Amino acid sequence: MALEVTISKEKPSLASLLMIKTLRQRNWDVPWLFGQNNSLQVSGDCKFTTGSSICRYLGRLYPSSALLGKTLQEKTEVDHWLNFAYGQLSCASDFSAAIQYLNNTVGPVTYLVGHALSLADFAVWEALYGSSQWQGLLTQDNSLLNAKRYYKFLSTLEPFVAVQKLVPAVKPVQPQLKGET
Amino acid sequence: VRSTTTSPAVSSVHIKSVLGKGIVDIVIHADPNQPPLSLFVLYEIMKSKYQVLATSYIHSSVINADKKLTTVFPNATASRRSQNQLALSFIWKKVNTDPELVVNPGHQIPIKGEANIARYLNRVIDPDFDNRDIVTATQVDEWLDIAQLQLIHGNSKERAAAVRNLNARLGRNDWLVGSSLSLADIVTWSAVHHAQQADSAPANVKKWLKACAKNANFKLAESLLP
Repeated sequence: MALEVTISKEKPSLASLLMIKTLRQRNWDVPWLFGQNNSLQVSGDCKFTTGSSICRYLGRLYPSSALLGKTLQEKTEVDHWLNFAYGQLSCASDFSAAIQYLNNTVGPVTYLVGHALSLADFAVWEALYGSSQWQGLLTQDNSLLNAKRYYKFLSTLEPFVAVQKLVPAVKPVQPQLKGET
Repeated sequence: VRSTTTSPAVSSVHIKSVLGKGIVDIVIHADPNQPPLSLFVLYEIMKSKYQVLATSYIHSSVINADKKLTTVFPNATASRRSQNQLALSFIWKKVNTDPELVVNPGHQIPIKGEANIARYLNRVIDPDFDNRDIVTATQVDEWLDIAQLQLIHGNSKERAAAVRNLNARLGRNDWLVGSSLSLADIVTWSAVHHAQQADSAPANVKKWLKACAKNANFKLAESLLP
């Protein structure tokens, strides 16, 4: 099957890129290229164009990668984090409550779901990487230590390193400099 | 070869062992002012596959809960637990906007959001859902994301856009995914009511809401509409 994923140059779905890079690391090669929109053509009349759908389809295509979770419960936890990442965590007005929730949850764990990397980590990392609020928090104060440890750990893993090279991070918000502009 | 063997087996072994070792408890905390209607439709479907003991409780923090919610299930006595495979409990209380699901207390985070709880119940009903037809499963998820993020949690602009999107799809098709009723219809039907878009819905959406409600599995959920 000729599978090919297009990743938008303007608004890249980073979770899709992380899925592709992680699958590739495990010897499943998914061809992709930069283009106008995020999309995955399945058949003549069926095309997925949201990051969530592209990731879910790829995860289901390679079920033994377990990137969508192993058990029924883990699979549903991945769904939970996907909604969290693209809902609350991506919404500026909900951000502080969302980041506190994440900080509490990642305290005792390395990965969000089970004991392995999953789409949940990709989506949450994507939301953080693209958040100027988060990029600002990273360089400041000593709060949110669990969330920072979690984010920094993911950022050192090979697929994440590759994605950071492809797509630059957003500029951090620095509230203390606001008065100068 | 690696890509085809383990995961489906893991799912089915998991569900078998879960249902094999005695009763499985599924506990849902929900706000009585916003009952997660789709879960009552899934409960009806679940009953055709498993012996389900369903109960509902009102948390002491809730004053003046709707009588319909307290009497939604004919609460059975605890002695009958052993004859069932699944125990589904609704606890009506003030939750932070989203209903929460707990299956394995102490070993998991509560799963939030009606669409995600519906995904879990659907996987219990149909453990092979994620593997059998991966295009359909992904299309269903896409509607569930729209229901959760745009209809239930969206602002008025996002809600209106989601309803327009629904209306366009339903102009060409009777159902949201494929040619029959699916999880996508069940959850979106609930979300349209939740978002209070049912009365003002455009023609195709109205027709589809009626077609959903005609299904016998929707009867209990319909009875909970305000």
